[in-house]
Amino acid sequence: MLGKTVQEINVGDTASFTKSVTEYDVYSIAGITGDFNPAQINTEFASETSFGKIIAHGILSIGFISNVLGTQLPGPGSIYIRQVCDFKKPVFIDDTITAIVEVTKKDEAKNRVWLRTYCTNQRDEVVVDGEAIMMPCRRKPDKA
Amino acid sequence: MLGKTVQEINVGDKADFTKSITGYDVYSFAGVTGDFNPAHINTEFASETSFGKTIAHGILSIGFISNVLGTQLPGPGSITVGQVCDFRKPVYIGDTITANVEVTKKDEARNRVWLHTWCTNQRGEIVVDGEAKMMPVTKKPAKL
Repeated sequence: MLGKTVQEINVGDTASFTKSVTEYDVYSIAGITGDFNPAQINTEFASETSFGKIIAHGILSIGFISNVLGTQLPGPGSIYIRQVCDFKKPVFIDDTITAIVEVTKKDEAKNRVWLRTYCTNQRDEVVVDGEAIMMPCRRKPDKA
Repeated sequence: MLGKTVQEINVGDKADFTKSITGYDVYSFAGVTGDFNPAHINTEFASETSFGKTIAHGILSIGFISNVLGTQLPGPGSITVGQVCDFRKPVYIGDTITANVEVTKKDEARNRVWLHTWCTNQRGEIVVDGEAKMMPVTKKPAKL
């Protein structure tokens, strides 16, 4: 159940998660965060924007990245230090988004791992690109 | 309803949003993103971590920042270009989180605005610190 330690992680390790985005996801994120930006929840408004229709919140894609970091690589017990993200393209409802993380660097002495973190859509276009810094779990909690 | 243009925004402009975190928020966020990291949804696991209890997803706090950026400053019609977030302290269920944004720089020719973005808890401690790069709305859509 517990994630990998910095010793168990190697540069080049990858993990991913894929989900098709639904209207439910977008409206739920709006309700949870209070982010009722009309670009995300008003089809009339969105039809007049450069995107032409409503788009998903950028943090939904970052949430998929957080999913992979927190459940797979480094996994449970790791601590999130930093997330950098550039939003490259819009994510629309019904797009199928894959969040991918790949270890680019590690520092065993400081117990830090750097990962390239990005999301692609069903056309393999990069929609979000960035980097995360994680502190992997150091020792196994007694009950885990 | 439409947000501010780069001409209407000034360095030093601020906006904020405050919400108390509930278990509903954390579990809903897990359900939408698939981020079932036990640190967020397993009280037994969390009791053995350095935090001692379950913590909210870091991305939830970023969602509050996204809320302020997308609904207030620059507001509707703006596009998030990039974000950097450093996670400083854990956010627990029951904490009251305030997301703050403050304009630090703007470039009218390139239509870009940079903002310091951070979240504080009810004790005034900074839990998330970072920066956002935004593209404010350039023209008013015809239907607004």
